[in-house]
Amino acid sequence: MNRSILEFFKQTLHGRLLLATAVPPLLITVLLTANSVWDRHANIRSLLYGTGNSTAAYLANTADFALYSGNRALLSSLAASTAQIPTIKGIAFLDTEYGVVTASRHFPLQESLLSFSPTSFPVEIAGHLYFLQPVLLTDLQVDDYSAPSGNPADREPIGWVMVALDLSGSIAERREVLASSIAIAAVVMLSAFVLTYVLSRSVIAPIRKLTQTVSLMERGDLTARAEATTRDELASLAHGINHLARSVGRSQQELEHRIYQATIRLQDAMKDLQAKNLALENATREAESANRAKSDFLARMSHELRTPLTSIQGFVRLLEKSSLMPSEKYYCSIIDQAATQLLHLIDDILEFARIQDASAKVENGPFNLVDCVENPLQLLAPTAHDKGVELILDIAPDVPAQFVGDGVRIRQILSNLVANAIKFTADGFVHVAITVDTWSAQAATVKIQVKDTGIGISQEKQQHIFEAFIQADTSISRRFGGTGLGLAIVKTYVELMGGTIGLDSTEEIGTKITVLLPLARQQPDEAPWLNPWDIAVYDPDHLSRLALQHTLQRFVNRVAMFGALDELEKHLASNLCQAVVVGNNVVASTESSLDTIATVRGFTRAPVVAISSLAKLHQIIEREQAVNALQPVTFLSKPAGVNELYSALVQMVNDGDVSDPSPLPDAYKPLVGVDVLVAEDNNFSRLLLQTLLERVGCDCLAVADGEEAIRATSNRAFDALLIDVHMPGIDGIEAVRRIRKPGNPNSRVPIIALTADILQHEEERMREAGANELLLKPIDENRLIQTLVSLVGKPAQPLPDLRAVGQAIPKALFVAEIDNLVAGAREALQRQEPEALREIVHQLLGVSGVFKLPVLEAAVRDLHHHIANHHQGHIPPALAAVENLAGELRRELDGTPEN
Amino acid sequence: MTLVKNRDVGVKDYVKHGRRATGIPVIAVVMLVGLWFSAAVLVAPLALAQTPSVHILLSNDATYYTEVEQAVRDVLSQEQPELVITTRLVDQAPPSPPSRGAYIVAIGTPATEYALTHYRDTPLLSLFVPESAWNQLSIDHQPTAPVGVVVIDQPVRRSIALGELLAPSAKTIATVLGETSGNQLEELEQETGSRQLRLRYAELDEGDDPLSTLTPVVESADIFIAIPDHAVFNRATAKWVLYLAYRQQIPVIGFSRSYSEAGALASVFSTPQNIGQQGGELVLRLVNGQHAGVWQTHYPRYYTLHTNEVVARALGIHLPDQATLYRMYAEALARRP
Repeated sequence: MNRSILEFFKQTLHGRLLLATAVPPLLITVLLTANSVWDRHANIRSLLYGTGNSTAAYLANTADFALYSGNRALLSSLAASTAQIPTIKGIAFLDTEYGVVTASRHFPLQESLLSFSPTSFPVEIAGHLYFLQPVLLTDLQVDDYSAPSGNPADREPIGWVMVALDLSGSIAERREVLASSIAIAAVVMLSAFVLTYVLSRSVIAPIRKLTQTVSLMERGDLTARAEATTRDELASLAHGINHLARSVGRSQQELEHRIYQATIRLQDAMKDLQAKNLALENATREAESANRAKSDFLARMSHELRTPLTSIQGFVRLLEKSSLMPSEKYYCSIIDQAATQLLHLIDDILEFARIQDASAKVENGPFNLVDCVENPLQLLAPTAHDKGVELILDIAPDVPAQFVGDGVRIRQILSNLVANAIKFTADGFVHVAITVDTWSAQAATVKIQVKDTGIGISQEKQQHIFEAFIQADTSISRRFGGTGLGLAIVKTYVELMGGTIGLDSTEEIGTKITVLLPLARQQPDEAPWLNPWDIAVYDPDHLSRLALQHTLQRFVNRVAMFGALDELEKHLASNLCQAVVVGNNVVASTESSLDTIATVRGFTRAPVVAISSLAKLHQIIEREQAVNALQPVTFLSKPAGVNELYSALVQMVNDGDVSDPSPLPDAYKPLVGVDVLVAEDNNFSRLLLQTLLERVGCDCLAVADGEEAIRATSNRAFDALLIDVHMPGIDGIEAVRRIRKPGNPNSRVPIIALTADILQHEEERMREAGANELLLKPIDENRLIQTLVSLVGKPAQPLPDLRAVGQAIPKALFVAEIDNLVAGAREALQRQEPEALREIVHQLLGVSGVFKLPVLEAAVRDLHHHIANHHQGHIPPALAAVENLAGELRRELDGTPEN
Repeated sequence: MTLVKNRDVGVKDYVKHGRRATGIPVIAVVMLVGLWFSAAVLVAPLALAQTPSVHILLSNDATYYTEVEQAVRDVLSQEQPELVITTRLVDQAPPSPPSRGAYIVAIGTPATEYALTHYRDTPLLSLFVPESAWNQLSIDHQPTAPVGVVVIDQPVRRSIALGELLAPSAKTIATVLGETSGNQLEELEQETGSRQLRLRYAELDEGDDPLSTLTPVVESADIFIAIPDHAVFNRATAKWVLYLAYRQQIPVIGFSRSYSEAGALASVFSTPQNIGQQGGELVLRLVNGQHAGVWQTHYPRYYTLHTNEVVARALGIHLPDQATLYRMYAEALARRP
């Protein structure tokens, strides 16, 4: 109720108007009433005091004789003379000691009165007001010639007169005044309020009507009209509102009409749009179909182009080996180069088509960054070294090896960038630096910097260099070949991985490309285990020396670096080193390299690891006698990988015993008790997989083909299945399809498909058949274990260092397997059985990577590439190269020199 | 209420009573006349050769003193315009006496005392002093030079005569006497006795309750005569007298204008002009060499009557007009019993 009244006064115009008009008169009335009451009360009080004071003064002036003479009768008569005054309650005459001489009968004598001093009067006690007046003896001037008497007030009083006034009358009178004033004020206020209310209501009423009319209009009743009952401003407002309502009504009708017309047009447009959408969908379908057709066409065309090209290459190489004129051999080499360029061109176009098709996806699995970086560089090193360009790989020692991401794409990025750098560098070096830009516990930003001393890129071309089909100069394609797709592919991959790529180039000076890749880390990162060796390093090239130092620092705790032989000599003379690593410049001759090693051998008998380009390595090894004189010495190709260098040093420092570097503790067996079926037709690969899985705790059953796999899975439930795609008889795809059928106890068990091919259609078929993951051969052990761990639902654990696991297989067995496969391949080639050849090379590809022999692996991959792409002409020389390397391997194992 | 000033009523009022008013035998008069004659013959050349000077000494500058002085001067200037008259206030007066042949006219008690102190060898005429004051001064200073005095006080007979005139039916006269007025009892008794009147009086000391003393005296009288007394007639007592007399409905005869204005029926008294007039005449006699009868104490020769009409009406007494009153009063005084 109170709230509604408050809202009435606060929120309604009527209330505010009432407040504004009623409050001032009400306030004035209250103030006037208060003032009147106050005045009248003061008047009553003044009268009362006047009566008291004058009566007391009168009696004091008249009672001197009676008081002086003690005449009580006279005093009583004096007191009685005031009886006519109604407010006087009584009179008392007091002597000088305040003793009562006489008092009227009704005098309200209070004991407390006597305690007051005369100056305190008048005092009010118990409803009575008391006045006290001194009675002075007034004198008489009787002598004409004497001075007048002094001030009467100075004289001592002869007594006192006390007058008591009854306050009840005055109180009643004051109450009456108050009551009458309030009553009058109330009547005035009520009248004012009622009058104001009525007036304000009459003012508000037309406004209310206007408001109601506007409300009706708000609700849509535009026929509502305001009544103009007066002739004032409100009437003008009412006319205005009516006019507005009419205008709005007309506008609304017009608007409705327009909306109606627009709706009709919209409906027509919708129909058109639907038709166009249908047409668009058809067009999209056609475009998609065309795109698929284009992809298929590209794939087919690449295949179709590769086949004749490989034939051309094969026959050109055969022709090159025949007795030809030097000029003819030169022509053959040009044809071979052109064909190789064309092949790369086709590969790039195919890759770019896949990117454009949005089928290129970024994988997210565990991978070894060091391997990822080293492998493509080792493959590209011969090309650089052939040009006399130093290819340096510098991986900072604090860069962790284990990351989670797409290792394949990173490999491709490195490959493209380094290949590009080599392509445009005539001399000098290509320096690849891997560092970590930013760290955190869970992630790190890896910085890949590829710096060359090539021709550089002009400032204006730099901004377009990452665009597809763009090269710095049209002449470049003529000079260096290429499609201009490499950097575009790199940029796409980097951005797909959430990274950035930057370019810093100066013409004729060189180019520096920096890639920043955010990568998740495998947790926890293992602290590197450092060997307590003293290793001395000699490399005349500063950057190569630094790269070697960083590589060694990953597993050796003391490394001494030298750029001059005399400094090395001094060091070796006074320090016992477990080994000496000697780096040879790519431009250095074989003789020079051998001389350097011989010089070092002159300083120490410690094992020497000599690092040279692959071509030089072959030439040095051919100098068997010279090499024997330098023993113990191991030769590694540039750039030396961490694993290679480590294995070589371990082998040499530990006198060649690296068969089982360190047994894995139980804590590093993340798959203990996991039952795994391995279906692999290649004996060596099967053994490798079995060994690997058993090392991480798996219970393993290995079978040789698809039929055995189906049989094994029909009566035993495994935790995971590893099935090779290419197997004789029932291949992996068919086997997976059958195992996935209902009723098979392993129909829901995770399946990992293994293949050496990266054929897209095979991957899709395998996934359609029911494989959960597809892993490429040669098997990345860490990735295989990680995949198994994630698929069987084991908790994430730090992965053991499985780099040397492959070496748990006896090397002789490995070499024998290589020999068998190479012989089988030769036989299949001779019998012209391409499928058998493909199958054998496929197995060879899976096996070759086991012992981390990059040269052999590269050769086998090349052979596999040619076979898979039907490069008939390339197959025999590629096979021959593999045979060559296999022979070297065998001889190395046997310890017999090559004939 | 009419005030008549300096009116020479033509009646010499040399009343001699008791110690101060003494009669002069005829033989003595003859002898004195003989001596005066001889002296006049002897000193006449000197007097002619040296005009006496008059030095008026005022007690202060109060109005009534200056009025006395003015009256003296008026008389002298009219009769002896060449006479040298000087006036000094007491606090301005030289301490050494004036030259020989000068007369000192002291007006008021302080001036008289000053002259008696500083000009002991100079003849002195003292005016306007109360009789009681003069008596005390004469005792204190024992004057060696000739001294003549005109006191303020009226002889008792004048008050009794006035009372008798205004209340002829009165049989008993009452009064109250104090320390200074007590010596007038004899004169009172003589006057009342000679007029066949009873005298009721009371003696009042300063420590007495005036009401209890006055009340029986007033209640027993037909008329009350107020005799000035420093101790008795203080301001309060005068009031009680009037109050009691009023309650008793008897007339009071006062001794001052103030008293009759305050409530007495009538008063007889001498104004400063009356005293000055008399003083001037005495100086004239001195400068004219008529020293006889000067060097003595004089009651005022001239008087003034003042009545209160309201009181008279209250008492039911009819007052004649002023002229009639003076005439009747003079006749009454002349009718010496």
